[in-house]
Amino acid sequence: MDADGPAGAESPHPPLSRLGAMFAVGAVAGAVTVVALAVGTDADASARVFSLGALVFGAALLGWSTAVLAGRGLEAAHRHLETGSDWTEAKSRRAMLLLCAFGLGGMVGVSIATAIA
Amino acid sequence: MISKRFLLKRLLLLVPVVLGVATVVFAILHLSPGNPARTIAGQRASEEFVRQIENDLGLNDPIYVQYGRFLWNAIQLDFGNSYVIRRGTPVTDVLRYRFPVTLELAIYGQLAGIVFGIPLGILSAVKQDSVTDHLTRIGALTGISIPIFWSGPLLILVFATVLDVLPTSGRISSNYSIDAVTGLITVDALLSGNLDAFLSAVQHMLLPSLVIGVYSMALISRMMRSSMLEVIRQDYMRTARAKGQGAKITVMKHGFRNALIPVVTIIGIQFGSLLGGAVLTETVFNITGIGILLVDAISVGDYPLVQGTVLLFAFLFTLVNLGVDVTYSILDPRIDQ
Repeated sequence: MDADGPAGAESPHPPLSRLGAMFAVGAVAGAVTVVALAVGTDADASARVFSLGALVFGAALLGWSTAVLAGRGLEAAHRHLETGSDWTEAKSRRAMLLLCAFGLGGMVGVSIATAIA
Repeated sequence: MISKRFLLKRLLLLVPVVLGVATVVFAILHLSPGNPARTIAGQRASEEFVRQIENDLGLNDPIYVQYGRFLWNAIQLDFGNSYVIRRGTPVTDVLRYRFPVTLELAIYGQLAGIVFGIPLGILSAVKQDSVTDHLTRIGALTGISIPIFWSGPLLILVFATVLDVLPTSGRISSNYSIDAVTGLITVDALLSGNLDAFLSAVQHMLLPSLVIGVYSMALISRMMRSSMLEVIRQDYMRTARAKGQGAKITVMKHGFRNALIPVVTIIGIQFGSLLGGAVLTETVFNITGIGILLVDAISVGDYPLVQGTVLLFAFLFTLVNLGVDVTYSILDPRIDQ
C-alpha cells in the first residue's frame, strides 16, 4: 500500500494538504533565513535566499516536466532492464511537485519578509 | 495521423520546461559572484557611476521584482541589451545574427550522422558477426571515443594542409560577399544564385560537419544495429520470410520502421547536444556561432546574453523533443493512444 492510496493506482498528484504544508515550510524557512542573514548584516540576503528558492523551484519544475514527458519510458526501461528499482513516474511527479511547492514557498516567504522589512 | 490531444499536451508541456530553465538560469546568475554594473562600468569606474548603472538596470529593485520583470520580458522575447560583448545591442539581435551559424553546423553534422549512421547500423545488424560488422563496430567505437579537439585539427592537417583540398576555417571564401537572408550561408549563397559562392560555402562546411557528425554517426549506427538486431528476431519478421518475401524487402519494409523508434530518440537528443556542444567545433574551425558566444558571455559576466542564449537552447531542445514525439506517433500510431 502506498501512503496516499492503493499501490495499484498511484496518483501522480500529492494531496493538497501536503502541497500546502511544503509551501508553508518553504515560506517560513525562506523568511527566517532572510531575517537571520539580514541581522547578520548580509546586504544581499534576500537576493541570495530568493535565488536558492528559485533554484529549487526551477529544478523541481524541470524534474516534473521530465517525469511527465519521459517518465513512462523510464519506468518501462527500469522494468525491461530488471533494475529492481521501484522508481515510478507517479512517485517522481509527486516528489517533484512537493519540491516545487517548497521552492515556491521559499520565494514567496522571502518576498514577504523583504516587503515588510 | 497524430491526435490533436497528444500534440496539444506536448505543446503545453513546453511552458513548464521553459519556465523551469528560465528560473534556474535567473537563480544561478544571481547566486554567482560579481556585479553586472561593475562589469559594465569597468574596474576603474567610481562607486557613484556604478550605483547609477545599478539604478538604470533596476538591479537595486527587490529581487522578486527583478524576477517578475525578467519573466515578463522573456515572454515578450526581450532579454535586454548585451552588457559587454555587444554593448548596448539587444540580445535578440545578437542571437538572430549568431544562431543560424550554429544551427547550420548542427543540421549538416546531424545529416552526416544520419546519412552514414543508419545504413552502417543496418548493414552491421544484417551481417552480424561478419568482418563488415566488426569493422563497423570498431569504427563506431572509435568515433565515439575521439574528442573533437583532436579530430578537428587532425582533419585540418590531412585535408587542408597535406592534401590542400579543403579550407581550414571560416564559413565562406573572402572573395564572396553574400547578403544574409536566412543566416544559413549555404542557403543564402544558393538564393543569391552564385554557384561558386555556394560551392565555397559547402567546402567550408564539409570539415566541421564531418567532425561534429562523426560522433553522431557512431552513436546512431550503434543504436541502429542493436535495435535492428532485436527487430529481426521477432516472429513477424520470420513470418514474412516464411511467406516467401525476400530478405532485403523484409528488413526494409517490416524491420526498418520498427527499429527506427529508439534511433529517433538518439537523433533528437543528439541534435540538442550538437546545438549546445558546438563550442569546440566552432573554436577549432573559427566559426563565430552561438557556442563561442555563450562561453564568452559567461566568462565576462554578460548576464542578459547568457540568459537569452540558454533560454534559446532550452526552447529549441524542447521543440526538437516535440518533433521526436511526433515522429514516434507517426512511426508507431499506438504511442499517442
